[in-house]
Amino acid sequence: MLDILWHRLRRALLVILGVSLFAFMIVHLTGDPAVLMLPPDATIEQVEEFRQAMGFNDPLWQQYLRWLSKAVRGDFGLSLRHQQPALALIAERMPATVELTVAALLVALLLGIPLGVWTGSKGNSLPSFLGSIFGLLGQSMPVFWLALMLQLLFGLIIPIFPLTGRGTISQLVMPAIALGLYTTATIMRLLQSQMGEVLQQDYIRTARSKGLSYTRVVFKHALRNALLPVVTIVGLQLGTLLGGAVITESIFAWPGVGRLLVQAINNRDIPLVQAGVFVLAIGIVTINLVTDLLYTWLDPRIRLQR
Amino acid sequence: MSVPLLQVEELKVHFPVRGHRGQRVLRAVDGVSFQLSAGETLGLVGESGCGKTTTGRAVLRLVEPTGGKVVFAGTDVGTLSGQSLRRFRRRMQIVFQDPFASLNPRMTVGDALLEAMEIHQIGRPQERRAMAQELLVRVGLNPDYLERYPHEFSGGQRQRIGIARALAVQPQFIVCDEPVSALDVSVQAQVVNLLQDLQQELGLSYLFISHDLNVVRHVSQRVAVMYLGQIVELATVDELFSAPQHPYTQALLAAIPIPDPEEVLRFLPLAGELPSPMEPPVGCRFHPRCPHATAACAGEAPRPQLITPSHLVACHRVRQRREEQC
Repeated sequence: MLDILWHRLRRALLVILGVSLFAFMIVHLTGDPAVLMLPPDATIEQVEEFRQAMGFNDPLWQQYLRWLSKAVRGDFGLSLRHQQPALALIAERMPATVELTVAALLVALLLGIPLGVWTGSKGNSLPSFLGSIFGLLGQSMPVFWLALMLQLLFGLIIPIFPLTGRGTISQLVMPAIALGLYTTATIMRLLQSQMGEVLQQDYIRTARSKGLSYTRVVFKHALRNALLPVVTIVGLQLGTLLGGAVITESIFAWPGVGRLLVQAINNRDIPLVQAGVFVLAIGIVTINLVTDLLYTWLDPRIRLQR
Repeated sequence: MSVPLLQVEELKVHFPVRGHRGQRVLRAVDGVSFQLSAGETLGLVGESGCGKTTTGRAVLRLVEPTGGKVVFAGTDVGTLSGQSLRRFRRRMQIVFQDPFASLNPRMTVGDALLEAMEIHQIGRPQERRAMAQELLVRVGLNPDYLERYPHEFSGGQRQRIGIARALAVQPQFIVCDEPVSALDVSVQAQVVNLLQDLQQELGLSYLFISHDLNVVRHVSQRVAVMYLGQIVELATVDELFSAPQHPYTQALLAAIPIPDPEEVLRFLPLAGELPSPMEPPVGCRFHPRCPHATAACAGEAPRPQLITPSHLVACHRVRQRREEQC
């Protein structure tokens, strides 16, 4: 187990190093950083002076190492717009994003798993047909459209939920559904097909021949086997959810990292963008690492292999 | 013959099949009758798709029969439902063909055995682990294997686990559905011998389904030959193998490879393919492939007839020959 952990950890570190290189390069890929960071009316002398001070004349690799050594200590520099440490700004908004992501995931799990089991254990019938339609719709609707439609329907026409903002539970409902519906549909479809397949297996017949009740066969023998791919998908989807939060947060004026990042991009606030990308990337890599480990714990067959 | 433990009468299993030509019916099992005494092994042979496996499953009601009756130890299995059926499953068990697919990959051997015992409340809770270990020893495995998962075992070992699992609920009757055909030849003999030893010790009855005639000959007291969902011949092992009456049985026996180049083919080989069980031939189902078929064979289905007290055949020609002799 420790062996696997070490192996996976090394790979995760490699990915993070790659992302750091990318985040660093953003500055240099979008034009002359000194000009970008200074106000438009700065004189040539001021620009040159700033370039010297920031070390933009040094070779790239030196700049990268310098930037990285600061970054790993959490120093991404001051946000150009807010004049505060970039990481602190991100950290301040993080709880809101985590709250939204977790809420969306809860929606997806609490809706997706029961729906998947129900429609998957019914064979070719009306529930399975309706489930397929729901799955198709859920996966086809873009988040921004769904979010706007939810706002229109439940915010304006039948005003049950507040349109924007964060603070109360009722403000969380619409963003969480908008963000989580795609994952709900994904989980449901996957589980539906998995259940259908697993229930055909011989060991299900074995379980029935033991004299187990139908419920016990479905939940104890079938679900455990059908759930495995769902774990992988949930892990991958968490990354999508974190990324999708950018759009959802902007629409619902949710004060999270995603919205901050969009604003930072609009303002060309490079230190803030770098810090945001870096933090989100570490989050996603960590989630994938945990999924990997969870997978080995869930499937005893993987435990022996590397 | 003593009172049979299992009595199957006119068992039928039809599956609706929806195709481009509308709803049709696949007659997997179409009127199968046989009896089985306590401690006896009845072999059930036939080629792929003739309904052997479906017969075995329908007897246990793992597949719902469309018609007919299955009486086990005086109880009509068809009348049971819900909990009473689940309780009844304790007395009739099955060993599946594929030992790789029939064990839940996410359960240890111990979980699989203990679950069955818990459901049927066999033994006291604190005794069950010891009982499970005893079962493993009984099927020739190490008692420490209780903690292991199915994927850690070889095919033969898994089939032993499958047998232990069936035995966990202390059944009287086990359907062995091709229990050795997925195994290496060297392992087949071990598992067959194990099944026979267990039968001796525990007084079990087997319905032994196989397409391997040599194995069936070795384990069975009586053998039933199935063709397209029906039994065409049923006799004691000696009679069936020494004096097969039905042309299909004769062809099957002729197809057993004999390791002797000098040996000549004793019977005519079969022509043609197995017809579709969705449109079985009218009259005798075997007549399109039968080397001795006459006009009568295409007209009326032959009724099974006893030609000796222990030999049942469904063939017009056999009946005619016997009438001529009389």
